[in-house]
Amino acid sequence: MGVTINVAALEPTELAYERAYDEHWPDVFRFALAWTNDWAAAEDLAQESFLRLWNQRNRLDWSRPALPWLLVTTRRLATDRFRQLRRRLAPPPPPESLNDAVHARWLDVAAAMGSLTPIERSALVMTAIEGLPYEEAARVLGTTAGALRAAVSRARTKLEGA
Amino acid sequence: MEPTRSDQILDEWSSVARSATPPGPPPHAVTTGVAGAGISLAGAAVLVVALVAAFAVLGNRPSQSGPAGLPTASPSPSPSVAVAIPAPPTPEPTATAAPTPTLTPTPSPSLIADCNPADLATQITLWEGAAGSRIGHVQLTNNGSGTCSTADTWQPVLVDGQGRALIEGRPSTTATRIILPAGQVVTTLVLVSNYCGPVPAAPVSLSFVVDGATLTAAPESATDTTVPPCNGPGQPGSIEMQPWRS
Repeated sequence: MGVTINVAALEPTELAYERAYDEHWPDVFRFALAWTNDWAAAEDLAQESFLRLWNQRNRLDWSRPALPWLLVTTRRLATDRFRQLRRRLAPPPPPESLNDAVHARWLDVAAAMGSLTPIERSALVMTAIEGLPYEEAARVLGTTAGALRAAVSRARTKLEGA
Repeated sequence: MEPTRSDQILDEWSSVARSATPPGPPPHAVTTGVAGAGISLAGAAVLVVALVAAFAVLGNRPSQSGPAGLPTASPSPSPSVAVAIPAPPTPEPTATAAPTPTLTPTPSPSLIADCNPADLATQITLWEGAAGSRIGHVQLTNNGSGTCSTADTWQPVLVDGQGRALIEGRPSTTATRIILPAGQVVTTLVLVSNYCGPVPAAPVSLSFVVDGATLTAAPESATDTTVPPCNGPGQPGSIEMQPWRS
């Protein structure tokens, strides 16, 4: 086999990318999970968003936080490619990354959260769980702080009746 | 004070969601090309696998078909080809307040459009003899004004000077895309074998079907009638291409 590849040292942007993945993958996954309410789709979305980050790494200003960029990208991907997932009739198969016990818990909580729209779910998770200010969460979700507050309020009302 | 029902659900959601772990190492597109552009270990591994697979295909398999931390202010040497990118998402249907990603003002991921076939030029630069086969060296140039993406393998067809298909390859099923900056040149090898038909009209060339369009490569010469030898009369010919690479 004559294939030889020279593996160069990582470029600074590649190091920044690796660091962003380590630091933000869970945040991106949870955001995708809130939006889709679908574990496997959220994993796919998170990976896809980081692929986008990788492909853009040489054009980005790494002195600024990467997470907002990742979340906006995730939302755009989710609203586009995964729109059809919400219409499918069959429940998704258990993700391979989940063991049975966690999967059962996830199905329960996903059912409860299933009554919310993606915006309501994401708004609630970002503000109540992730602790983001309304203004910042609104920017990620492409809406206004006022609309976000209303979405959170609706979400809580729905969950109280869930 | 008792937690509300919504708080209980959110607590459970948080608990379950925080049990998630990354499925593996950071996803990398494979980058090749310009000097100085490093290639990650993961990317190298993928590239090795891809090359091995490509050579295995070309060497052994007959076709069934007949016919945050580090500043980089300047646009550093961007990779000339980045593969394994996902298809760009379309713009959102809603026109709410524009999101303001704080990271970049430069083209967002969604702005990498599919290449317009009219902007892509292909040319055969060399026909090379091989044992019972012919290998066409093909060059692809993005003559468009901007960066675009296209599939990294296309459906190859050996055609004669009148555009008739002499040997037709299988349609590409790849989900892998390559990014082509304006002016970018990439190349591939196309392995053709077992042509048992009549002498073709010159010039013989290669066509490619991509994104619903057919691109015919400029032939090596206007009088070229290069076809592979007939190895098995009655057997279908074979044509395969490697992925485009810089």
